[in-house]
Amino acid sequence: MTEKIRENYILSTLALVFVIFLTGQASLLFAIPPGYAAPLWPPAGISLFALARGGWRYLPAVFLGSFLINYSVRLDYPTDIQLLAPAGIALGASAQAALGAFLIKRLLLIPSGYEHVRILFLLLFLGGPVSCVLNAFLAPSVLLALDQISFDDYSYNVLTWWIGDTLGVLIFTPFMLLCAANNQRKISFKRKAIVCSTLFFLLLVTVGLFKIIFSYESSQKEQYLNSLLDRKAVQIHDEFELYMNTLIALERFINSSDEVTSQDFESFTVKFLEEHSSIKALAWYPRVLHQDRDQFENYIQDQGYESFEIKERIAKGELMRAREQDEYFPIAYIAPYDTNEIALGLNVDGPDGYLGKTLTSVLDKAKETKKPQATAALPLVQNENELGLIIYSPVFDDRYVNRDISDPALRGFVAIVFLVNEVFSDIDIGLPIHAELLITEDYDGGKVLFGSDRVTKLYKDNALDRKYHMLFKTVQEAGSGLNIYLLYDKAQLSLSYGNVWLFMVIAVTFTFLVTMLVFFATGRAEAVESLVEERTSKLETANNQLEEFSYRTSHDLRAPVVSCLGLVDVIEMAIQQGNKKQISESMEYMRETLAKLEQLIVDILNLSKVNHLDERAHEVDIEKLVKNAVDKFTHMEGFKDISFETDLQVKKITTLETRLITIFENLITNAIKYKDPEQEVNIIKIATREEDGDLVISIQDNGIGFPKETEADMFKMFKRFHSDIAYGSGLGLYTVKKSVDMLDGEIIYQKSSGLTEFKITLPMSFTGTSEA
Amino acid sequence: MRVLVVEDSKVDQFLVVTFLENFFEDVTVETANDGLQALKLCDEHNYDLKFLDINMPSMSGFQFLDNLCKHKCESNIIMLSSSLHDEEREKALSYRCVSAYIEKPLKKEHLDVIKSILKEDDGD
Repeated sequence: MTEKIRENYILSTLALVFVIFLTGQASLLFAIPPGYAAPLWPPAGISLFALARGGWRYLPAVFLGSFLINYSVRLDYPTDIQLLAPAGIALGASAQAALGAFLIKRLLLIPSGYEHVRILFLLLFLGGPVSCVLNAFLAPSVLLALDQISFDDYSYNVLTWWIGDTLGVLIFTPFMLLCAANNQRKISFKRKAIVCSTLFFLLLVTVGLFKIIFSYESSQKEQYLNSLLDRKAVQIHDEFELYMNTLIALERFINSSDEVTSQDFESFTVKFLEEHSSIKALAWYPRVLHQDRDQFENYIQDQGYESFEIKERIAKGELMRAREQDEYFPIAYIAPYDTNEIALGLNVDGPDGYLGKTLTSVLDKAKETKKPQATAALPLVQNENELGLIIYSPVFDDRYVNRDISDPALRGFVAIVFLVNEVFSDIDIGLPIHAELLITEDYDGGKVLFGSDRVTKLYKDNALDRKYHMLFKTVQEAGSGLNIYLLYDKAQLSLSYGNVWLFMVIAVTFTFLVTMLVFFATGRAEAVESLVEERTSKLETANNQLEEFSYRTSHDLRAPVVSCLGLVDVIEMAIQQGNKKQISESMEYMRETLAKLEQLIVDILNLSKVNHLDERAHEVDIEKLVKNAVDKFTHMEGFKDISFETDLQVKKITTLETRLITIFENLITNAIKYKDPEQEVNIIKIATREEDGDLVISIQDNGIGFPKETEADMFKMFKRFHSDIAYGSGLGLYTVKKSVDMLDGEIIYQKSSGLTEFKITLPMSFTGTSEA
Repeated sequence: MRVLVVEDSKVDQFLVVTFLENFFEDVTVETANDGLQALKLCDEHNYDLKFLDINMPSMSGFQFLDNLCKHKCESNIIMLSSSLHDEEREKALSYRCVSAYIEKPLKKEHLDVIKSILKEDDGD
């Protein structure tokens, strides 16, 4: 590899990497959020084209370009995957481009050119939909293996990948054709400009419409999802409203008399419990001062709960008699009793060995605000395996309501207990199939109140947005903040933009078809134009030649006639004068002149044969042909003085025989006619040989040759150079040149070591026609 | 009288020479085969009359005139041509040194023209 080629290769590789990266970034304009599935991925087309045209040496560039673009897209991935995933995808992209290029190259072995419509569409089919299947499977497999997508998302990824790459190949095809055809025959700047501007314009329109359609679709969708979220919030609020109302009723009931018994409490609450199954318990926590503790315990025991005492939780499942405090808020009554028996007597204001904290702050807040206050989710004494919420509502003695909080006006708390899972799960809001709800407490480290294991895990890992498109709302219920998340699987949401996908497929296909139409139409127009141009120029040349021919022949034919007329006058006068010498001299001149006239007519006829004789190529015996040509001139003056040397290494050729005869005869007769009288021996060498698969005919002589300054005009019509030596019509070499041109050959004149040479190169097998 | 005949065709040289010898007394005719040879002769001698053919190899009649006029303005040149094209006649007569244009063959009728040219020359 030379320095220059290496430099070019490095430059083109860098350019390719850059273009792949740039078009990849640009195509993210078309990505259908919230995923990054782009329904149009031109790097696929560019890579294919680079390998099909530039060869396998561009594989590293394809890999690098693909790696960089995927690396930039996946920057938020975990570090180890940040490199692995793009590398895997880039490997797939390179393999896919290589496969496409291989298929195309195999097909192009059939020489028909890109412009052939049938071949073209076959190419597109192979390079596009067929080979794009490869990475459509490989890339998502890499992501699946690296655990970046779930198995559910696999098919979605395969589909979007395939569409993106296929459309990318499709849209890049017109460019590909422009460059490819450029190599075979020149494509005008005008045509390139028309095709490219059509493509760019349609792409621009596509981008514009895509943005409009997408933003419309997405706002519709967002609106719909938000309405679902609102509905959920309203439902939760309704549920809490019910609890609040229950608490108010309970508070009023407690305040309705100084002496509410366990039995009263049970019969009052039974109706609520029956109607609302989510309520696990309703309870009354009276305020008991330490000095009244024994009296209170006796009071409850007297109502049939013989083992009653004020208790506290010291560990999971373990309760003991509450340690001494200034005051207690124990559960005096709880309904339904059967399922909550264990909680009876539990002092809510006391230390909790299991929770590791007291609920004092919740109670204080309820006292302060005089409003119901919910706890954070906590394991209940009566069901420690599940999270429950308790809402405490303070009960004040009506008579002391506006006193200080430490005032004995606080009689205690009524509370409602429920399991979080039951409260939030049984309310259906008609979620779409790929959406789910997550409800959490609204504080740092707040617990998940509701949600599937998968989303709970992602929530705890703070990684929800990698997989889900999130909408959320914070609501305040019973003094506590709740976050309601509506989570929509990004991949599925992306796919749910069916209209946008459909639009892109139609728009890109339309763009492709229109651009191709423009490409072919301009090509046809240009072909017609260039054909007309070519024919016109041929006609012009033919016309000019004809004009010159008629001008010259009129002169050259007339000249000998005129001379003869002059000679007749001279003879007439010589007869009158009896000048016999002049008569015979004139007669001799007349004979000579008429012979030249005859020669001219023969030459004109030969030339016309070269142009118009209809003839088919067939195998010609060169040896025989040369012998005949030489024999034809044995009568010529000085022929016997010439030494002919022949060296025919090639003896057969398939060509138009008459034209070949014309070439040999003209060159041999010239060589005889213009021999150098000063040479001791006049030599004419005729040789044939093969060079690069072509036939080379060499006719050399040591004759007078051509003056240097006339060489340029040598093959022009009616050019004579040695009229003092011998007569020539000026058509011989012109006829030779015409014949050589007709046989798709070349003729050059050269001098070397005292010899002049006409070197003719002809194809071994002539495949053209004899049409001029 | 000294005459130069510039003509590549031997026949036409013969015709002009014979014509001059038949119709003029005491005439010396020299011949040149082409323009180059003629230029050389013109350099060496003065001629009373020059017959100049147009179509010649190496140097045509017109090229000869272009070269000749560069050096000195000669007159008494009679162009001879077998062409019937008017353009050629017009071009020939556009040269100041060309006195006449005669279509070949040279005939008795042309004697008057030649003589008048010679007379003009004498009068100068």
